[in-house]
Amino acid sequence: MKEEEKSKPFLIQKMLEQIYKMGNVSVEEQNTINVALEKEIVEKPFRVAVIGQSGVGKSTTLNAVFGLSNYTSDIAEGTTEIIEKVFPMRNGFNLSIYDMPGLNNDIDKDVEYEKLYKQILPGCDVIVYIINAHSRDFGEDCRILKEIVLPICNDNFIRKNLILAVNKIDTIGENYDPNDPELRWNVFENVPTKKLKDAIKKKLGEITNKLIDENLVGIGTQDAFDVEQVVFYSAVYNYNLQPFVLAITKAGKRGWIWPATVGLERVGKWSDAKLNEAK
Amino acid sequence: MTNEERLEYNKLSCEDKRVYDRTMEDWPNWPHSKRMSKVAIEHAILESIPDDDGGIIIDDPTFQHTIYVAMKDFLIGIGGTSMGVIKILDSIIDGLADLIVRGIKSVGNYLSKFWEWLNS
Repeated sequence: MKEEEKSKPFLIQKMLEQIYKMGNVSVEEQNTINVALEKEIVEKPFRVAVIGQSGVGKSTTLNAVFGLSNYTSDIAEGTTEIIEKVFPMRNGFNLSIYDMPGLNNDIDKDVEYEKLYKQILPGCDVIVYIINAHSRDFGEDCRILKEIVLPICNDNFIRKNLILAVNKIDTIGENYDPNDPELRWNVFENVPTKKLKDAIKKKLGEITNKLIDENLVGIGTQDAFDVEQVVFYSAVYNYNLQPFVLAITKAGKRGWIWPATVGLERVGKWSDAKLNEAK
Repeated sequence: MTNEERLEYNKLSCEDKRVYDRTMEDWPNWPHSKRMSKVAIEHAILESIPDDDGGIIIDDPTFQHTIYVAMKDFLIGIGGTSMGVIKILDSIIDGLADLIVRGIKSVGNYLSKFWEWLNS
Protein backbone atom coordinates (compact mmCIF):
# COMPACT_ATOMS: atom_id res chain seq x y z
CA MET A 1 0.00 0.00 0.00
CA LYS A 2 1.31 3.45 -0.89
CA GLU A 3 2.25 5.79 1.97
CA GLU A 4 -0.47 8.36 1.15
CA GLU A 5 -3.10 5.57 1.04
CA LYS A 6 -2.04 4.33 4.45
CA SER A 7 -2.80 7.68 6.05
CA LYS A 8 -5.76 8.66 3.85
CA PRO A 9 -8.59 9.90 6.08
CA PHE A 10 -11.74 7.84 6.35
CA LEU A 11 -14.95 8.94 4.66
CA ILE A 12 -16.47 9.84 8.02
CA GLN A 13 -13.48 12.03 8.91
CA LYS A 14 -13.90 13.93 5.66
CA MET A 15 -17.61 14.32 6.28
CA LEU A 16 -16.99 15.62 9.78
CA GLU A 17 -14.30 18.02 8.62
CA GLN A 18 -16.78 19.56 6.21
CA ILE A 19 -19.42 19.83 8.93
CA TYR A 20 -16.87 21.55 11.19
CA LYS A 21 -16.24 24.10 8.44
CA MET A 22 -19.92 24.61 7.66
CA GLY A 23 -20.83 25.14 11.31
CA ASN A 24 -17.79 27.04 12.61
CA VAL A 25 -17.36 24.31 15.20
CA SER A 26 -14.99 25.19 18.07
CA VAL A 27 -11.64 23.41 18.31
CA GLU A 28 -12.67 22.03 21.68
CA GLU A 29 -15.81 20.44 20.27
CA GLN A 30 -13.91 19.09 17.27
CA ASN A 31 -11.44 17.44 19.64
CA THR A 32 -14.21 15.86 21.70
CA ILE A 33 -15.80 14.39 18.57
CA ASN A 34 -12.50 13.28 17.02
CA VAL A 35 -11.35 11.53 20.20
CA ALA A 36 -14.69 9.71 20.55
CA LEU A 37 -14.60 8.69 16.90
CA GLU A 38 -11.06 7.40 17.16
CA LYS A 39 -12.04 5.42 20.24
CA GLU A 40 -14.96 3.87 18.34
CA ILE A 41 -12.91 3.04 15.26
CA VAL A 42 -9.47 2.16 16.58
CA GLU A 43 -10.16 0.60 19.96
CA LYS A 44 -12.88 -1.74 18.73
CA PRO A 45 -12.42 -3.84 15.60
CA PHE A 46 -15.36 -4.24 13.25
CA ARG A 47 -16.47 -7.77 14.12
CA VAL A 48 -18.18 -9.94 11.54
CA ALA A 49 -19.43 -13.50 12.04
CA VAL A 50 -20.07 -15.56 8.95
CA ILE A 51 -22.20 -18.68 9.30
CA GLY A 52 -22.98 -21.18 6.60
CA GLN A 53 -22.79 -24.77 5.61
CA SER A 54 -19.79 -25.97 3.69
CA GLY A 55 -19.86 -24.88 0.03
CA VAL A 56 -22.21 -21.89 0.37
CA GLY A 57 -19.44 -19.47 -0.55
CA LYS A 58 -18.32 -18.02 2.78
CA SER A 59 -14.80 -17.33 1.54
CA THR A 60 -15.88 -15.77 -1.74
CA THR A 61 -18.40 -13.62 0.11
CA LEU A 62 -15.76 -12.39 2.56
CA ASN A 63 -13.38 -11.68 -0.30
CA ALA A 64 -15.97 -9.88 -2.39
CA VAL A 65 -17.81 -7.89 0.25
CA PHE A 66 -14.94 -7.11 2.61
CA GLY A 67 -12.23 -6.86 -0.02
CA LEU A 68 -10.01 -9.49 1.54
CA SER A 69 -7.39 -10.87 -0.73
CA ASN A 70 -7.89 -14.57 -1.32
CA TYR A 71 -9.28 -15.37 2.09
CA THR A 72 -9.79 -19.10 2.45
CA SER A 73 -12.05 -20.70 4.97
CA ASP A 74 -9.94 -23.30 6.72
CA ILE A 75 -12.27 -24.44 9.45
CA ALA A 76 -12.20 -28.16 9.96
CA GLU A 77 -15.39 -30.17 9.59
CA GLY A 78 -17.07 -30.51 12.97
CA THR A 79 -14.76 -28.07 14.72
CA THR A 80 -15.97 -26.55 17.95
CA GLU A 81 -13.22 -24.00 18.26
CA ILE A 82 -13.52 -20.75 16.38
CA ILE A 83 -10.63 -18.36 16.06
CA GLU A 84 -10.97 -14.63 15.54
CA LYS A 85 -8.98 -13.58 12.47
CA VAL A 86 -7.98 -9.95 12.50
CA PHE A 87 -7.27 -8.04 9.28
CA PRO A 88 -5.63 -4.63 9.72
CA MET A 89 -7.28 -2.10 7.42
CA ARG A 90 -5.94 1.44 7.75
CA ASN A 91 -5.09 4.04 10.39
CA GLY A 92 -5.45 1.48 13.18
CA PHE A 93 -8.88 0.24 12.06
CA ASN A 94 -9.21 -3.55 12.06
CA LEU A 95 -11.69 -5.96 10.54
CA SER A 96 -12.22 -9.07 12.59
CA ILE A 97 -13.75 -12.23 11.14
CA TYR A 98 -15.31 -15.22 12.88
CA ASP A 99 -15.72 -17.99 10.34
CA MET A 100 -18.44 -20.22 11.80
CA PRO A 101 -19.30 -23.71 10.59
CA GLY A 102 -22.79 -24.71 9.57
CA LEU A 103 -24.46 -27.63 11.32
CA ASN A 104 -24.83 -30.04 8.40
CA ASN A 105 -27.68 -32.08 9.88
CA ASP A 106 -25.54 -33.12 12.82
CA ILE A 107 -28.17 -32.84 15.55
CA ASP A 108 -25.71 -34.19 18.14
CA LYS A 109 -23.53 -31.16 17.58
CA ASP A 110 -26.40 -28.69 18.08
CA VAL A 111 -25.77 -28.21 21.77
CA GLU A 112 -22.06 -27.60 21.29
CA TYR A 113 -22.64 -25.22 18.40
CA GLU A 114 -25.36 -23.39 20.22
CA LYS A 115 -22.88 -22.80 23.03
CA LEU A 116 -20.33 -21.56 20.52
CA TYR A 117 -22.80 -19.27 18.78
CA LYS A 118 -23.99 -17.91 22.15
CA GLN A 119 -20.42 -17.13 23.06
CA ILE A 120 -19.44 -15.39 19.83
CA LEU A 121 -22.49 -13.82 18.18
CA PRO A 122 -23.36 -11.23 20.87
CA GLY A 123 -19.93 -9.60 20.39
CA CYS A 124 -20.33 -9.21 16.62
CA ASP A 125 -21.35 -6.05 14.79
CA VAL A 126 -22.62 -7.97 11.78
CA ILE A 127 -23.73 -11.60 11.57
CA VAL A 128 -24.01 -12.94 8.04
CA TYR A 129 -25.87 -16.21 7.55
CA ILE A 130 -25.19 -17.43 4.03
CA ILE A 131 -27.38 -19.83 2.08
CA ASN A 132 -26.80 -21.22 -1.37
CA ALA A 133 -29.46 -20.13 -3.88
CA HIS A 134 -28.62 -23.19 -5.95
CA SER A 135 -29.54 -25.54 -3.10
CA ARG A 136 -32.70 -27.61 -3.49
CA ASP A 137 -33.53 -27.83 0.19
CA PHE A 138 -33.32 -25.10 2.81
CA GLY A 139 -34.87 -27.15 5.58
CA GLU A 140 -31.69 -27.42 7.64
CA ASP A 141 -30.86 -23.72 7.23
CA CYS A 142 -34.40 -22.81 8.29
CA ARG A 143 -34.08 -25.06 11.32
CA ILE A 144 -30.70 -23.59 12.39
CA LEU A 145 -32.01 -20.06 11.91
CA LYS A 146 -35.25 -20.68 13.80
CA GLU A 147 -33.95 -22.84 16.60
CA ILE A 148 -30.49 -21.43 17.19
CA VAL A 149 -29.42 -18.22 15.45
CA LEU A 150 -32.57 -16.08 15.72
CA PRO A 151 -33.29 -16.97 19.38
CA ILE A 152 -29.70 -16.05 20.35
CA CYS A 153 -29.96 -12.78 18.44
CA ASN A 154 -33.37 -11.96 19.91
CA ASP A 155 -32.24 -12.78 23.46
CA ASN A 156 -29.24 -10.49 23.07
CA PHE A 157 -31.13 -7.72 21.23
CA ILE A 158 -28.90 -8.08 18.17
CA ARG A 159 -31.46 -9.25 15.61
CA LYS A 160 -30.74 -6.08 13.63
CA ASN A 161 -27.11 -7.21 13.28
CA LEU A 162 -28.19 -10.17 11.15
CA ILE A 163 -28.05 -10.43 7.37
CA LEU A 164 -29.50 -13.38 5.49
CA ALA A 165 -27.31 -13.61 2.42
CA VAL A 166 -28.50 -15.69 -0.54
CA ASN A 167 -25.36 -16.35 -2.58
CA LYS A 168 -24.65 -18.01 -5.93
CA ILE A 169 -27.63 -16.63 -7.82
CA ASP A 170 -25.44 -17.05 -10.93
CA THR A 171 -25.69 -20.86 -10.62
CA ILE A 172 -29.48 -21.06 -10.42
CA GLY A 173 -29.75 -22.02 -14.11
CA GLU A 174 -28.05 -25.35 -13.34
CA ASN A 175 -31.16 -26.33 -11.37
CA TYR A 176 -33.22 -26.19 -14.52
CA ASP A 177 -30.88 -27.44 -17.25
CA PRO A 178 -27.11 -27.66 -16.69
CA ASN A 179 -26.51 -28.13 -20.43
CA ASP A 180 -28.40 -25.07 -21.63
CA PRO A 181 -25.90 -22.28 -22.46
CA GLU A 182 -28.72 -19.73 -22.23
CA LEU A 183 -28.98 -20.58 -18.54
CA ARG A 184 -25.30 -19.82 -17.91
CA TRP A 185 -23.90 -16.54 -16.68
CA ASN A 186 -22.84 -14.03 -19.32
CA VAL A 187 -19.26 -13.58 -18.12
CA PHE A 188 -18.36 -10.96 -20.71
CA GLU A 189 -21.05 -8.51 -19.72
CA ASN A 190 -21.27 -9.87 -16.18
CA VAL A 191 -25.05 -10.12 -16.25
CA PRO A 192 -27.51 -13.01 -16.36
CA THR A 193 -28.91 -13.90 -19.78
CA LYS A 194 -32.60 -13.17 -20.33
CA LYS A 195 -33.48 -16.83 -19.73
CA LEU A 196 -31.30 -17.04 -16.62
CA LYS A 197 -32.84 -13.83 -15.31
CA ASP A 198 -36.29 -15.45 -15.49
CA ALA A 199 -34.95 -18.59 -13.82
CA ILE A 200 -33.38 -16.49 -11.02
CA LYS A 201 -36.64 -14.63 -10.49
CA LYS A 202 -38.53 -17.91 -10.25
CA LYS A 203 -36.06 -19.57 -7.88
CA LEU A 204 -35.73 -16.53 -5.61
CA GLY A 205 -39.53 -16.44 -5.51
CA GLU A 206 -39.54 -20.04 -4.28
CA ILE A 207 -36.82 -19.37 -1.71
CA THR A 208 -38.62 -16.34 -0.31
CA ASN A 209 -41.94 -18.21 -0.20
CA LYS A 210 -40.24 -20.82 1.94
CA LEU A 211 -38.70 -18.16 4.21
CA ILE A 212 -42.02 -16.35 4.62
CA ASP A 213 -43.92 -19.61 5.14
CA GLU A 214 -41.42 -20.59 7.88
CA ASN A 215 -41.95 -17.19 9.55
CA LEU A 216 -38.29 -16.34 8.98
CA VAL A 217 -38.92 -13.17 6.98
CA GLY A 218 -41.60 -10.56 7.52
CA ILE A 219 -42.36 -6.87 7.71
CA GLY A 220 -41.90 -5.35 11.15
CA THR A 221 -41.92 -8.73 12.86
CA GLN A 222 -40.33 -9.04 16.25
CA ASP A 223 -38.60 -12.38 15.81
CA ALA A 224 -37.72 -12.71 12.14
CA PHE A 225 -35.62 -11.02 9.47
CA ASP A 226 -36.94 -7.78 8.04
CA VAL A 227 -37.15 -7.79 4.27
CA GLU A 228 -34.19 -5.39 4.01
CA GLN A 229 -32.01 -7.83 5.96
CA VAL A 230 -32.24 -10.37 3.12
CA VAL A 231 -29.85 -9.93 0.19
CA PHE A 232 -29.42 -11.87 -3.06
CA TYR A 233 -26.08 -11.76 -4.86
CA SER A 234 -23.25 -13.56 -6.58
CA ALA A 235 -19.99 -13.12 -4.73
CA VAL A 236 -17.92 -14.76 -7.42
CA TYR A 237 -19.20 -12.32 -10.08
CA ASN A 238 -19.35 -9.29 -7.80
CA TYR A 239 -23.00 -9.03 -8.77
CA ASN A 240 -25.53 -7.02 -6.80
CA LEU A 241 -23.28 -6.28 -3.83
CA GLN A 242 -24.83 -2.84 -3.32
CA PRO A 243 -27.82 -4.14 -1.28
CA PHE A 244 -25.38 -6.27 0.74
CA VAL A 245 -23.27 -3.25 1.68
CA LEU A 246 -26.44 -1.30 2.44
CA ALA A 247 -27.61 -4.10 4.73
CA ILE A 248 -24.23 -3.96 6.52
CA THR A 249 -24.60 -0.18 6.84
CA LYS A 250 -28.00 -0.62 8.49
CA ALA A 251 -26.91 -3.53 10.69
CA GLY A 252 -27.13 -2.92 14.42
CA LYS A 253 -25.47 0.03 16.10
CA ARG A 254 -22.08 -0.19 14.40
CA GLY A 255 -22.81 -1.41 10.87
CA TRP A 256 -22.31 2.12 9.48
CA ILE A 257 -18.68 2.09 10.60
CA TRP A 258 -17.71 -0.26 7.77
CA PRO A 259 -18.77 1.96 4.83
CA ALA A 260 -17.85 5.11 6.73
CA THR A 261 -14.25 3.94 7.09
CA VAL A 262 -12.95 1.62 4.37
CA GLY A 263 -15.99 -0.39 3.25
CA LEU A 264 -16.85 1.46 0.06
CA GLU A 265 -13.23 1.43 -1.08
CA ARG A 266 -12.87 -2.31 -0.68
CA VAL A 267 -16.09 -3.91 -1.84
CA GLY A 268 -15.89 -5.73 -5.13
CA LYS A 269 -12.13 -5.39 -5.60
CA TRP A 270 -11.37 -9.07 -5.24
CA SER A 271 -14.21 -10.14 -7.54
CA ASP A 272 -13.24 -7.60 -10.18
CA ALA A 273 -9.79 -9.15 -10.29
CA LYS A 274 -11.25 -12.66 -10.56
CA LEU A 275 -13.62 -11.59 -13.29
CA ASN A 276 -10.81 -10.09 -15.34
CA GLU A 277 -8.91 -13.36 -14.95
CA ALA A 278 -11.94 -15.27 -16.25
CA LYS A 279 -12.16 -13.03 -19.30
CA MET B 1 -59.58 -9.16 4.69
CA THR B 2 -60.37 -6.79 7.54
CA ASN B 3 -61.14 -3.15 6.78
CA GLU B 4 -57.67 -2.14 7.85
CA GLU B 5 -56.10 -4.78 5.62
CA ARG B 6 -58.32 -3.71 2.72
CA LEU B 7 -57.11 -0.10 3.16
CA GLU B 8 -53.51 -1.29 3.09
CA TYR B 9 -54.21 -3.38 -0.01
CA ASN B 10 -55.84 -0.45 -1.78
CA LYS B 11 -52.70 1.62 -1.30
CA LEU B 12 -50.62 -0.88 -3.29
CA SER B 13 -49.60 -0.20 -6.89
CA CYS B 14 -51.25 -2.25 -9.66
CA GLU B 15 -48.14 -4.44 -9.95
CA ASP B 16 -48.03 -5.02 -6.18
CA LYS B 17 -51.74 -5.88 -6.17
CA ARG B 18 -51.00 -8.51 -8.79
CA VAL B 19 -48.26 -9.99 -6.56
CA TYR B 20 -50.61 -9.89 -3.58
CA ASP B 21 -53.47 -11.59 -5.49
CA ARG B 22 -51.18 -14.25 -6.93
CA THR B 23 -49.80 -14.95 -3.45
CA MET B 24 -53.36 -15.27 -2.13
CA GLU B 25 -54.06 -17.91 -4.78
CA ASP B 26 -50.81 -19.81 -4.22
CA TRP B 27 -50.87 -19.59 -0.43
CA PRO B 28 -54.52 -19.39 0.62
CA ASN B 29 -53.68 -20.04 4.25
CA TRP B 30 -51.27 -17.14 4.58
CA PRO B 31 -52.51 -14.16 6.59
CA HIS B 32 -52.46 -10.62 5.19
CA SER B 33 -49.10 -9.84 6.87
CA LYS B 34 -47.38 -12.67 4.99
CA ARG B 35 -48.86 -11.56 1.67
CA MET B 36 -47.59 -8.03 2.34
CA SER B 37 -44.15 -9.46 3.14
CA LYS B 38 -44.21 -11.23 -0.21
CA VAL B 39 -45.04 -7.93 -1.95
CA ALA B 40 -42.12 -6.23 -0.21
CA ILE B 41 -39.63 -8.99 -0.90
CA GLU B 42 -40.65 -9.15 -4.55
CA HIS B 43 -39.15 -5.66 -4.95
CA ALA B 44 -35.92 -6.87 -3.39
CA ILE B 45 -35.82 -9.77 -5.86
CA LEU B 46 -36.38 -7.54 -8.87
CA GLU B 47 -33.69 -5.14 -7.68
CA SER B 48 -31.38 -8.13 -7.24
CA ILE B 49 -31.21 -8.86 -10.93
CA PRO B 50 -30.31 -5.54 -12.47
CA ASP B 51 -29.42 -5.28 -16.15
CA ASP B 52 -25.94 -3.98 -15.41
CA ASP B 53 -23.50 -5.57 -13.00
CA GLY B 54 -24.95 -3.61 -10.11
CA GLY B 55 -21.60 -2.16 -9.02
CA ILE B 56 -21.34 -0.03 -5.94
CA ILE B 57 -22.72 3.47 -6.31
CA ILE B 58 -20.95 5.35 -3.59
CA ASP B 59 -23.11 8.48 -3.71
CA ASP B 60 -26.39 6.60 -3.55
CA PRO B 61 -28.68 8.76 -1.34
CA THR B 62 -29.84 5.73 0.65
CA PHE B 63 -26.24 4.90 1.58
CA GLN B 64 -25.47 8.47 2.47
CA HIS B 65 -28.69 8.83 4.45
CA THR B 66 -27.98 5.69 6.48
CA ILE B 67 -24.44 6.81 7.26
CA TYR B 68 -25.48 10.33 8.29
CA VAL B 69 -28.31 9.06 10.50
CA ALA B 70 -25.90 6.67 12.22
CA MET B 71 -23.33 9.43 12.53
CA LYS B 72 -25.90 11.70 14.18
CA ASP B 73 -26.88 8.95 16.64
CA PHE B 74 -23.22 8.40 17.42
CA LEU B 75 -22.55 12.12 18.01
CA ILE B 76 -25.60 12.43 20.26
CA GLY B 77 -24.41 9.33 22.13
CA ILE B 78 -20.94 10.66 22.91
CA GLY B 79 -22.26 13.90 24.42
CA GLY B 80 -20.53 17.24 24.05
CA THR B 81 -21.79 17.75 20.50
CA SER B 82 -23.39 21.13 19.99
CA MET B 83 -26.85 21.74 18.55
CA GLY B 84 -25.14 23.55 15.67
CA VAL B 85 -23.51 20.33 14.47
CA ILE B 86 -26.70 18.34 14.95
CA LYS B 87 -28.67 20.95 12.98
CA ILE B 88 -26.24 20.69 10.04
CA LEU B 89 -26.60 16.92 10.11
CA ASP B 90 -30.38 17.22 10.27
CA SER B 91 -30.43 19.42 7.20
CA ILE B 92 -28.22 16.98 5.27
CA ILE B 93 -30.38 14.04 6.42
CA ASP B 94 -33.59 15.84 5.40
CA GLY B 95 -32.08 16.70 2.02
CA LEU B 96 -31.07 13.08 1.43
CA ALA B 97 -34.49 11.79 2.56
CA ASP B 98 -36.06 14.11 0.01
CA LEU B 99 -33.83 12.69 -2.76
CA ILE B 100 -34.81 9.13 -1.75
CA VAL B 101 -38.53 9.98 -1.83
CA ARG B 102 -38.07 11.55 -5.26
CA GLY B 103 -36.33 8.40 -6.50
CA ILE B 104 -33.06 10.21 -7.26
CA LYS B 105 -30.16 7.77 -7.43
CA SER B 106 -27.17 10.08 -7.12
CA VAL B 107 -26.37 12.64 -4.45
CA GLY B 108 -23.71 14.20 -6.65
CA ASN B 109 -25.93 16.48 -8.70
CA TYR B 110 -27.89 17.75 -5.76
CA LEU B 111 -25.35 18.23 -3.03
CA SER B 112 -22.59 18.74 -5.55
CA LYS B 113 -20.48 21.21 -3.62
CA PHE B 114 -20.43 19.00 -0.58
CA TRP B 115 -19.90 15.85 -2.57
CA GLU B 116 -17.10 17.28 -4.74
CA TRP B 117 -15.26 18.19 -1.61
CA LEU B 118 -15.67 14.70 -0.18
CA ASN B 119 -14.25 13.22 -3.35
CA SER B 120 -11.34 15.63 -3.55
